[in-house]
Amino acid sequence: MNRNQPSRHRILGRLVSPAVRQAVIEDFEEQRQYLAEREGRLAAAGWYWFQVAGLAGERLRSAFTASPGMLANYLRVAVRSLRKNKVHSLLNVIGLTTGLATFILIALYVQFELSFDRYHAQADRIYRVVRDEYCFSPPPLGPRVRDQFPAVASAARVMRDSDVLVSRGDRHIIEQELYWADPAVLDIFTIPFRQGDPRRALATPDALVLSESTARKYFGGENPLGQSLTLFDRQKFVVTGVFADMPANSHLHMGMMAPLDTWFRSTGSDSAAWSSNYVYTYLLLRPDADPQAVQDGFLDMEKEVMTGLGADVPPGYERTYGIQPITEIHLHSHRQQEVSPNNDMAYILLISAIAVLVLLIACVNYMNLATARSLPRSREVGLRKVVGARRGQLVAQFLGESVTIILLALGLSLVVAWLALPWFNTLVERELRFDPTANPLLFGGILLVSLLTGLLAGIYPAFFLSGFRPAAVLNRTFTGGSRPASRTRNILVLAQFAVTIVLISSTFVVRDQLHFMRQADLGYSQEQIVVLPIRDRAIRQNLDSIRTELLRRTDITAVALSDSLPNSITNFTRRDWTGKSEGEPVPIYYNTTGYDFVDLFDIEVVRGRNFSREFPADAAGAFLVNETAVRTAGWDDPLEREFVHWRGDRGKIVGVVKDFHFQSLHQPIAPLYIFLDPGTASHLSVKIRSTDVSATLAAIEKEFRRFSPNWPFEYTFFDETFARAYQDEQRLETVFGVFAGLAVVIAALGLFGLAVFSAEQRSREMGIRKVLGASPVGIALLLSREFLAWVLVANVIAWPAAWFLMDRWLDAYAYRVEPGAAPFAASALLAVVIAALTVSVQALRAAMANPVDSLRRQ
Amino acid sequence: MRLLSRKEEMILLAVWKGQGQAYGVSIRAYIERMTGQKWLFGAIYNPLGRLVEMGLVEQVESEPLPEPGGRRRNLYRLTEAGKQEMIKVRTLNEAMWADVPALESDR
Repeated sequence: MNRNQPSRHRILGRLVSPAVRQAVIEDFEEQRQYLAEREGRLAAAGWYWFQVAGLAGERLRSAFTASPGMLANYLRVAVRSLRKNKVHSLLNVIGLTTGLATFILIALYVQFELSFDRYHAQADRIYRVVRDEYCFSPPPLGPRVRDQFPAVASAARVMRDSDVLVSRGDRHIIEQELYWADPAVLDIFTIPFRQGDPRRALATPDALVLSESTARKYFGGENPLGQSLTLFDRQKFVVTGVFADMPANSHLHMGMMAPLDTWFRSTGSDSAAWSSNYVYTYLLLRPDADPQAVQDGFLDMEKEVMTGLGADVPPGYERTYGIQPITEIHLHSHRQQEVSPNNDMAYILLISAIAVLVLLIACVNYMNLATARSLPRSREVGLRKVVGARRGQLVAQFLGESVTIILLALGLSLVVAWLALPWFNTLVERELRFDPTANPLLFGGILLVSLLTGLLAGIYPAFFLSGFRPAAVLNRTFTGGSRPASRTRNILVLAQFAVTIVLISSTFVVRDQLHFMRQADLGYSQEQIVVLPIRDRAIRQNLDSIRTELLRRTDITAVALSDSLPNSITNFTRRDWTGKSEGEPVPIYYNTTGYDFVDLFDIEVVRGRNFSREFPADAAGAFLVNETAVRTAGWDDPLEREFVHWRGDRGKIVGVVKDFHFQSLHQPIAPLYIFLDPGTASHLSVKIRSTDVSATLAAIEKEFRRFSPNWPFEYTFFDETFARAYQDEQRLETVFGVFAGLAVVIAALGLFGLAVFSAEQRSREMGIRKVLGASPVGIALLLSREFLAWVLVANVIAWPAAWFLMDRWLDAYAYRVEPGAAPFAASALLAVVIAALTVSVQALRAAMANPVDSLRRQ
Repeated sequence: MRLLSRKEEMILLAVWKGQGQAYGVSIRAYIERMTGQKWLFGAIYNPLGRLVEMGLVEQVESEPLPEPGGRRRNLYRLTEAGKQEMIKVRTLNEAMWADVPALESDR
């Protein structure tokens, strides 16, 4: 064992009296090694630094409390110096307030995002079954896994049903959050019951469990237990329980629960069919279980199942189900069929980085302004030293000042954050609450971060200023800033502006991409189309009559039926359709439509023809395919080729449509077929000619009401649904824009402070120059030049960083802009203009000053 | 000369009780036992350092511990001034407690 390791314990050694230093170091070293052997190096290091930090805190406290009179004095001097330099203090406080307020809001948001699904008491043992990029699993999987896997304690399946008509008496409401669920879901998830018995709530076939707010919606103040509700206008259910609303940080939001078995029975679905995937399966593992064991078990299970179904298991078959922890769903799962839209860890990291950067910029400001003020402060330091102040006391005094400022800024930033929270909530689409008592950890953390910011910002100036030699500073010729100090300042300004420019140019690139996506020719028209969801069977049975009635009006030019709309075709089949036997089958997306879909949406038919009522054979089965499908299959002539729908319906390919973007621009265009089958439509699209839109809508509603009096009438304009598709990008643009703006403000504040300092410091020089005949403009330029040069250099550093970042971001899009020079040039220009404006105000003032004033002081 | 702080007093006591054998771990253990509180690992060293600086406590190295390559321990013991200080502390404490009226908890 090495007894003496002074270099390793330099910080520790400084914290204790030299009289016992060696003994302390030895004791710490012994304890650290003891821990390292028993708990591991990391735990030992953690322990060590925790102890050192604690000692530092104690040391600081005793420095203040050893002489309470001095503490009061530090405070008094801090307040005095703040009041004496109002401009500087104001710049500092504004900068730090902005930085901290940003940090507080983002911290609230990030904490909320990280907390998703952790409220379950057994959160670390709950997993969801997934497969490749999909979340659904087949119904028999859950029970089989529960019975055969020793690591699995319990399994529950839930199936979401949206657009469900729920009626109580003659009140009809469409519910989006009905879940058909296994009773075990109440054991696995933490769902506290307000009324009823969770153990028996889903035991009867007609049981219905409501969330508190759903219960209130239907029953107001009445006791809902034992009351009944009717689903789909025909099935009666009895309320057996009321549970507390699921928290906002849950990926599932159940409004109603009913037994899954009832659904199987009433729809005649085969709960043993492995071929169709439509339930979410959640597993509760045993406390000591290894998730990998479950993962491995899936492959065997699947081979058994395939053999049982009479299918061959190809050699080397590896693809199978997987599990993901429930706590990772919100930030790490980017699959199709997610219950609710998820966030992305990359986004969380990005926004956290922005928060820290903005705070750092504010810190840098403080450092710059504090060192820049060294000239007036140096006299104070010198005098204090002459009358006997020790360096440690001076350091404590300057740190005290920065902590005072930061506490002031913290108070203000809490107010600002509280005021800005409603706006921020709309921006991030959350309902964050500002409640220190409910969230002591976060607010304690914010206090800690503030103090650390204060120390970080104060420590450089503190050591810099306290290091002056009294004999030098009290001499009249002392001019403050030494060369290394001003170089540090310039580098800090450079860093600030580099960060700012990265933010600005990123904003421009995001905006470009957004613009590109909005303007892109998607291959179908979006305007003047009203979309009506078809929910009621009565509507579906009378579509012909409704269509004929609607087309009779002059303000309606076309009516089309389709299962999916052209902007979101997500159904696909993996059936081998290309006729190529080698390799994995390529998935092909599909849409089922009526005759007029392609025409109404102006989708171009490049070969062959559209579906037509004039060809009676079409009704028996007809297909359109897109160009990508033709290319993928390698067909020379797709027309008249035999094709098969996933259900087994056969028909001929009658035409080829031009490729259109049937998903967001993130995805490349994939193979697609359109099958003529008006019967399975779930959307009715109506093309209108806008003379009096509300009259047209009223007419359509009247037509619907004829057949479906109970269901609420709902419609959307197609171009509106389309605008919603790029919400994420729009939000990112706003977030970047706002934070870039803040960074600009803070950086400009700092620059302004420096300009003031520089002008003050060189006032005599400028006075002499003026007397010797320099023009005011020349002087202003002279003063501004230095700063502008640094801002320009900042650009050079920022560009590659921004380009790299944005290139990575754009990689997520199959169709993207190439970030050209424009965004970077624009942000450079913006930064330079802002810097020039900031600096020149001060420079001009200095240039216009009467030289007599500055020279008289000699 | 200023009065010792409570911490310093306790440490001085611990060193005396150790009768020449007191070292970091034993002092810490004594204080934790008496106060019932968990102290920071290094927290005893600042008061201890002050005692050493004041010349009340001195530091000596022990014989090597009886194990192969055994290290020497840093032992602490009272100096003559330290003993004087202990006597002063005791006198003061006794004087303060001498005329306290009977103290019974009402609970």
